[in-house]
Amino acid sequence: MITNHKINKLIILFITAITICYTSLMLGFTYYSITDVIDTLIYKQDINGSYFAIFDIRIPRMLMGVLCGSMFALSSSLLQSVFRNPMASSETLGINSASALFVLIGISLFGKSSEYSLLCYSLIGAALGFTITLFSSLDQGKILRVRLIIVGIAIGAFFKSASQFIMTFQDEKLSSFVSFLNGTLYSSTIESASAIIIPSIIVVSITFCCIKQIDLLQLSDDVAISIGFNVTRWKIIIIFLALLLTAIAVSCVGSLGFIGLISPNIARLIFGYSNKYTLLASSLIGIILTISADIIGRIIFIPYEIAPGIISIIIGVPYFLYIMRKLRY
Amino acid sequence: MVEIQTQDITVKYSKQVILDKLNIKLQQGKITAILGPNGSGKSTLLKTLVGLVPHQEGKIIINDKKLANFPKIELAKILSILPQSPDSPNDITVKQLVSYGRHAHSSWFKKTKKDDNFYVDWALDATNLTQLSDNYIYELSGGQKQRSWIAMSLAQNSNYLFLDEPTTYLDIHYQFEILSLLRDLNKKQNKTIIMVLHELQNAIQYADHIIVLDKGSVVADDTTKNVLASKILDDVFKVRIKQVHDENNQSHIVICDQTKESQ
Repeated sequence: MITNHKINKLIILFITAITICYTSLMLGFTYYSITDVIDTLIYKQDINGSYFAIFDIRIPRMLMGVLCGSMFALSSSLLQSVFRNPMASSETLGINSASALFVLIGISLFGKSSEYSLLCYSLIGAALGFTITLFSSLDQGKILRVRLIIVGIAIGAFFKSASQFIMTFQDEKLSSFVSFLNGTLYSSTIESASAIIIPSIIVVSITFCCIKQIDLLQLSDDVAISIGFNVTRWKIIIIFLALLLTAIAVSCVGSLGFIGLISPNIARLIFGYSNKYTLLASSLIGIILTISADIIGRIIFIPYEIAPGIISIIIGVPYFLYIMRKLRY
Repeated sequence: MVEIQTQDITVKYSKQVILDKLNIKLQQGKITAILGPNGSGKSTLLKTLVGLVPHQEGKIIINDKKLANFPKIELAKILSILPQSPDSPNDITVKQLVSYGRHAHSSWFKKTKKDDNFYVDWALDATNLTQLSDNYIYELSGGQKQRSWIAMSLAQNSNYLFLDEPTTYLDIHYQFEILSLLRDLNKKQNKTIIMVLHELQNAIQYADHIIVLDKGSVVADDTTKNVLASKILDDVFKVRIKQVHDENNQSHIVICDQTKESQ
């Protein structure tokens, strides 16, 4: 009964995600109707420049949004389970900004030597940002819940400023990084999107194989140990997966702010704590939010674009304040 | 049968000695209560015995093998622990929670589903929770919640059940409910139960055997009857324990304040 209910809700989320993705192909600098998009996609017709707009701009963007939105959301779901803290996310633990800074440094020092070099810079940054936050919030071997978030936000702000500082002294080449820092789908190309498809699918599938272990991590440590669960080992594995997910996403679209923080919380409001549904829901919500933020950002001030990262922060911060109040931090 | 004993275990937090060279042999098939004033190290002893707290000196021996050499998952098949304030997400069902107890028996290769269902149902039945198995944890009363946790420990199907103050925060009615349940489990399922208790009265009423700790040392390790006769509890807790008889000539324990008595 309850299970059917949840499956229905998942189907609704799935349909919403597909509808929004389709809408993102229609809206933008030029508007194409539902049938225009079908004609272009299926019959390869060119209606008022639609072939170029849809295939070369909107589809890569949408694809990138789907991949990265779901990865940000998943990554934060994992972090929230590991730390048993609804305010944990790649953004609030300083991982996004650190990752973005290292992509910036990597590109300006070594360039983009191979397909996966961005991913490597990004992963190093993610690991470093996370490690600094983690060790700064330890108190006698224990992680203090509230300190973790406060420290994480401070570390995040530090890395973000460091990126801006570096950019001030760099030439034109890096000016596109301004939007990268805020998180954008603007520079997505079909090449950049297809480069991450395989790594994303691998990491996401591994994550979904660990649902049972992620569920057990939500028990308090002493309980988990007493039933013979190797808490430390699985915490490390799950954190590593979360860092990988974030690193892949940041290397493509930059720091997409609050999407990761909000999505798992909305998913949990609808589906509860059991990760069987919540993980999938969280990634679907991540997709919906990212694509919506991108659509809003590109249609409200045509021809100017507002980075979806900024839109997500504008929506995300009030929500952040709301959970702070609700959880009485 | 599984034998657990300690040889000169010492536990320190930074430099402070919490437990000082303890030698204990756990009584199989019995209910043992660990008693002691606040800060005597009773909770630390329980956690040390199950490997949740590391000991710096001495050794804990389970069937001629050192506890430290047991993988966590093997240990979980021998002993289950219910911590003082266990925590889980609120919106899982009782049955889900209980089935977590089967973790140690799950394996990537073997199909264990049938066994799992059997032990989960058995644990639910033994704790009288079958009716509530599809209820969410947040719908339960304090006593029912504690019973669910005990059921989870039972599903582990271990010989030993360790509980850290299982009746704390519960109303007196639920305290009796939990303690009677533990006594039933001890009698019917032959579980060895070791628990830290705060209430002297509960311990005297329900335990077969009592270990008394004071300032990190064992001052008594004997049957409840002998411990009562030795008056050690009177000294350690600074109380006067009296045996009184009611109108049906049943004996009860009354605990009085020693300081007031002497006036």
